[in-house]
Amino acid sequence: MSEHQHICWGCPPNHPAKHTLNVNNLSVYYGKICALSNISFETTCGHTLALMGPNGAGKTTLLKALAGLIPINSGEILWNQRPLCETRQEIAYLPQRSDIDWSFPITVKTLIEMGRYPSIGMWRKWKKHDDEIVQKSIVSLGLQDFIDRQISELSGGQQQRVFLARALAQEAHVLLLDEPFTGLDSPSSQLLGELLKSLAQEGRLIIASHHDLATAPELFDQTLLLKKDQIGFGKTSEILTPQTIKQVYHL
Amino acid sequence: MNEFLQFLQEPIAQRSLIACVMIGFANGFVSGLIVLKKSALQIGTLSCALLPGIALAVLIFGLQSWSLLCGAVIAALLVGLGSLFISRTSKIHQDTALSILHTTAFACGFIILVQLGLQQKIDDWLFGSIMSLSSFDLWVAFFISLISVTVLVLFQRPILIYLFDETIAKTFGIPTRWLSYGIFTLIILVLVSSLQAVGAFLTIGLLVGPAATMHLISNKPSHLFWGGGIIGGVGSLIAFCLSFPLGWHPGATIILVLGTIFTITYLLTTTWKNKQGENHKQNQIT
Repeated sequence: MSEHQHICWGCPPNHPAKHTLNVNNLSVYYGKICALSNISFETTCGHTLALMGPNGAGKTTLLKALAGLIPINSGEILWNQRPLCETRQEIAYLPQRSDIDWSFPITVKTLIEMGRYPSIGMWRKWKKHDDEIVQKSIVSLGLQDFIDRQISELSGGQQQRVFLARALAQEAHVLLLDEPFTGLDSPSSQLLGELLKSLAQEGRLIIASHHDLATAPELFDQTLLLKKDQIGFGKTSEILTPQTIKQVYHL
Repeated sequence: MNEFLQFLQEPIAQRSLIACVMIGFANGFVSGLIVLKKSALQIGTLSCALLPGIALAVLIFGLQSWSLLCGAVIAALLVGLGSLFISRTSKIHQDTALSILHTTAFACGFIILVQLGLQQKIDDWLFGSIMSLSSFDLWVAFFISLISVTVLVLFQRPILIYLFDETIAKTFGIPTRWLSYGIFTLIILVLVSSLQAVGAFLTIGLLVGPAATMHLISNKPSHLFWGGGIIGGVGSLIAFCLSFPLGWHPGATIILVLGTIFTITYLLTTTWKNKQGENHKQNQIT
C-alpha cells in the first residue's frame, strides 16, 4: 500500500500516489515593482503549508500566482509535472473573509453548489452525482443545520467552513487560503486547524498565508518564510527559529 | 371607462400598451443584475449620458429612430468605458470620472439640441413619449427584451458567480473581463429601450425599483430576476391604465406606481418583521 492513500473524491484511476507541487524560480512584478523573486520549493499533498512573512512580504501575491489570478514574470509552477494553470479544477482559492460580500443574497447550499461549476460548466445538466458530492461536502464539514441559512447569518468560523465545503464540492486537491485564521476566536481557530489537518491527511495540499508566529507550529507542518525573496522553506519547527524571525520581522 | 376602452381600439394605444408591459418586464428582469451588483447610481448617471448621443445622431442623420438608437448606445458606451479608462490610467476614482463625463456629455447634448431648435423634443427624451411609438420602436423593444432575458437565463451560472465574487469566478476560468463588458452592454441596451417609455431621467427607477422591491421579500437571486420582471411588467400595465383617465404623463406614472409598490412592500415587510420580533421575544419570556 502506498504511503498516501488518496480518498480525494473524483480521482481518476491512474492517480499518482503522491501529488507534487513544484515552484521553480518564481518571480512576480507589479509594473516595475518586484513583489516576489526567486521562489523555489517542492511539496506534496498531505501537507499543510504556511506562507509567512511580514506585511508586504508577498504572501497574498504568491497565493494569487498559484491560483493563476495574476501573471508571473518568470519561473514555473508545476502540479504533477504539468503547469498548474492547466488543471484549474484541482485548485480552490479561498479569498480573505473581508474581501467577500457577505450581504449577497444566497444560501449556504447555493454557495457550496457553486463549487460544481468547473465540472458542470455553463449548461450541463445538474445530475444526481453533483447532488451527492455537495451533500458529502456539507456533511464532512458539519454544516447540515445551516444549509438553508443566508450567508449573512453565519459566524466567522462558519463562513470559513462554508468556503471549505465549496472547495470540497469542487473536488479540488490544492486549497489556497488567504489568512483563514484572521478574526476567528480561539475555539473557531482550533476547529478550523483540525479541519485543515484532516483535509490534508485525506490527500489534499493546504497552502495558507498566516501571520501569527505563535500558532504556526501547531497549525502547519511546513512553512515558507518570505520577504520578497525566499528566506527559508521546510518543517515549521526548523524554519521559525529565533534567528530567522529576527531577520525577517526585526523582533 | 368607455372612453378608455375606445382608446384601446386604436392601434397606437395597443402598441404603447404592449411596449409598456414588455419594456417594464425586461427592465424589471435586468434590474436584478443592478441590485445584486450594487451599481444603481453608476447606471443612473449613464442614462443621462444618452442625451448627447441622441443629439449628435439628430445632427448628423436627422430625426430617425435607428440613428437615435445608435447614437444613444455609442454615447453611453463612450462615457462608461471612458470613465473606466480614466480610473485605470490615473488616480481618479471611476465614480468621480463618471460624474464629470456624464455631466459634460449632458451639457453638450443640451446645447446641440437647443441649437437645432429641438427644444420641444427634449421633454420627450427626458421623460419618455410612449404614445408616439412607431411599430419599428416596438420591434426594437421586443428584440432587446428577448435578448436580455435569453442571455441572462443562458449564462445564469457564470453570471451569478461573477456577481458574487469576481476572484472566485476568475479561478473557475470564467472570462470575467468579457462578462463584465457583456453585462455592461446589456444594461445599456435595456436603458435605451426604456428611454422611449420613461425617458433618460426616470429610466433608472425602472431599472432598479422592481428587483429592489423583490429583495425586500425574497433572498433568492432567481426571484429577484423573475419577480422583478413581473413587478416591472404589471406595474407598467397598471400605470398605463391609470395615466389615461387621470391625464397623467405615462412615463412618470410608471415610475410613480413602481415607487408606490416599493414603499408599500417596505412598510408591510418591516411591520411584519417587527411583529415577528415581538412574538419571538414574548415566546422567549414565557
